[in-house]
Amino acid sequence: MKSTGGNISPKDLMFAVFCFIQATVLRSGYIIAVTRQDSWAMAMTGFLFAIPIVAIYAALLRKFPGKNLIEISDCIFGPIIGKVVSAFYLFFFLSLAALNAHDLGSFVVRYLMPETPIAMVLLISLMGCAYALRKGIENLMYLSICLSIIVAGAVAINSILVLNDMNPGFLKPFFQMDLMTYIQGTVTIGAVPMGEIIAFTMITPMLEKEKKVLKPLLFGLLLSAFSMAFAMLRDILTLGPLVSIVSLPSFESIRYVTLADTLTRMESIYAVVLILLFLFKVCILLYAFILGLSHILGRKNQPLPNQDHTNPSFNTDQPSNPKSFPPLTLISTALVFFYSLIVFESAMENIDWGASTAPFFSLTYELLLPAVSLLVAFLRKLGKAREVRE
Amino acid sequence: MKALLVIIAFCGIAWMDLPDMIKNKQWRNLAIYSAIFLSVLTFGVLVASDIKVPSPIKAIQVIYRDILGLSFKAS
Repeated sequence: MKSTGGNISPKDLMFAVFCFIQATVLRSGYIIAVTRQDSWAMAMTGFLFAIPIVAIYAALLRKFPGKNLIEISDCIFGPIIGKVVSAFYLFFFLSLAALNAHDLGSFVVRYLMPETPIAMVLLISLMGCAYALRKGIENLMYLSICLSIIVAGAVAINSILVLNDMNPGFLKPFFQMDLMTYIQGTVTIGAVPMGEIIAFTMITPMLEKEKKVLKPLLFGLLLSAFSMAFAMLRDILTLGPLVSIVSLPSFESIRYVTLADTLTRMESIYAVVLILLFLFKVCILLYAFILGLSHILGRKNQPLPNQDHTNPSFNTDQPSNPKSFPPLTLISTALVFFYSLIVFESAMENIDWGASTAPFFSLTYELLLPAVSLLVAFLRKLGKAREVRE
Repeated sequence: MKALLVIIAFCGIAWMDLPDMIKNKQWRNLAIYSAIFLSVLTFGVLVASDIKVPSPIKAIQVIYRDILGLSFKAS
C-alpha cells in the first residue's frame, strides 16, 4: 500500500470528500423514507449539523500537525488508553467499509446481476480496492476530480432528461411533518454520509498545505449538500409519493428517461457511477483501517509512515523502515470481505439499521470521541498553539 | 468446498506477504501478521462453512436500541 507524503492538494481532498459522500447520497432512500417531500431541505440542515463536527476534526489536526487520528489519540490519551480509543476508531472504519461493501454487493445483485452470488461481486470489488491501495492512495485522490466531473455530469444530464416527467406539485405540502421527523432527517444526513469524512483525518497529514484542512473538508461537504439537495429534488419531483417507498429513488427516477424510444435504460449510467463511488468510498475506509492498524501494531519509538513526509517511497507494505509494519493490505481486505458477508442477513435488517441506529452509532465515533479528545487536549494543554489562519 | 477455496486463497495471500518478512528477518512483524492471518482465516473458514457467525452490527444495534435507548423510529 503506497502512500507518498505531502503531495495531495487541498483541491484533491475537496473532490475526494465530494465523491466519498456522493456514494451514500445517490442511494438516498433511507432519508426520503423519513422526511419524504421535504428531504431536499435536510441536505442543508444536515450540512449545518456537520459543520461543528468538521470544526472539531480541523481543531484536532491543527493542534497535532502531521499526525493522523490514531497518532493524535496516542498523544492525547497516552499509549494504553490511546490504543483503546484507536481500536474503537479502527472498528468504526472496518464496520463502515464492510457496510458499504455490502451495500455495493446488494445493489449489483439486486438491480444489475440478479443471479450472481453476492460473494463474487464483493470479491471482485474488494480485489479492485486492494489493487488500488497497493498502487497508492494518492492516485485515488487524483482520480477524485475526474470522478466528481463524471458524477456531476451524470446527475445533470439525467435531471435534464427527466424534466418532462417532473411535477412541482409533488413538493407540497411544505414542512407539515412534526419537528422530530426533521431532527431525525438532519441528524441522519449529518452523521451518516457527512460525518463519515472522519476517515479523511487519516489522509490529511499527506496534504501539501497541511494547515489548510478545514476549507477543503467544508467545501467538499457544501458541494455534496447542494448535489444531495438537487438529486433529492429531482427524485421527489419525478416520483411523487412513490419516492418514499422505493429503496433507490435516483435509480427509479432515471428509469423514466426515454428519448424518442431510442435513448432508454439510462439507469445503467447511474449504476456505473454508483459502483465507482462505492469502490472509491470502500478504498478510503479500507485505507483508514489499514493505516490505523499499522500505527497500532507499529513498534514504539520508530518513525510512523506519514511522519516522514520527505520520503517519496513510503509504503506501508514495504515501509521505509522495513522493521516497523507487517503487510496488512490483503489480509485486511479479506477481513472486510468476510465481515461484509455476515453483516446483515436481509435487506430489511439493513434498512432498519440505517434508519434507526446507524446515526447514533456513527455519532459516537464522529462526534463524541473526537470532542472528548479535543477537550482532554485542551485540559492537558497538549499540542501546538498554532497560529494557523484558515 | 467453499472452505477449501478460502484456504487456497489464504495460501495465495501468505505466498505474497510472507517472503519479504522472512527474508528481512522481521520476526516481530511475522508474529503479528501470523496472529492476524490465523484469526481472519478462522473467521473466513467459519463463514465459508455456513457456520453462523454473529454480526457485530446486530450486537451494536441491541446495545444502542435496547440498552441505551438510542435509536430513531424506523419509518
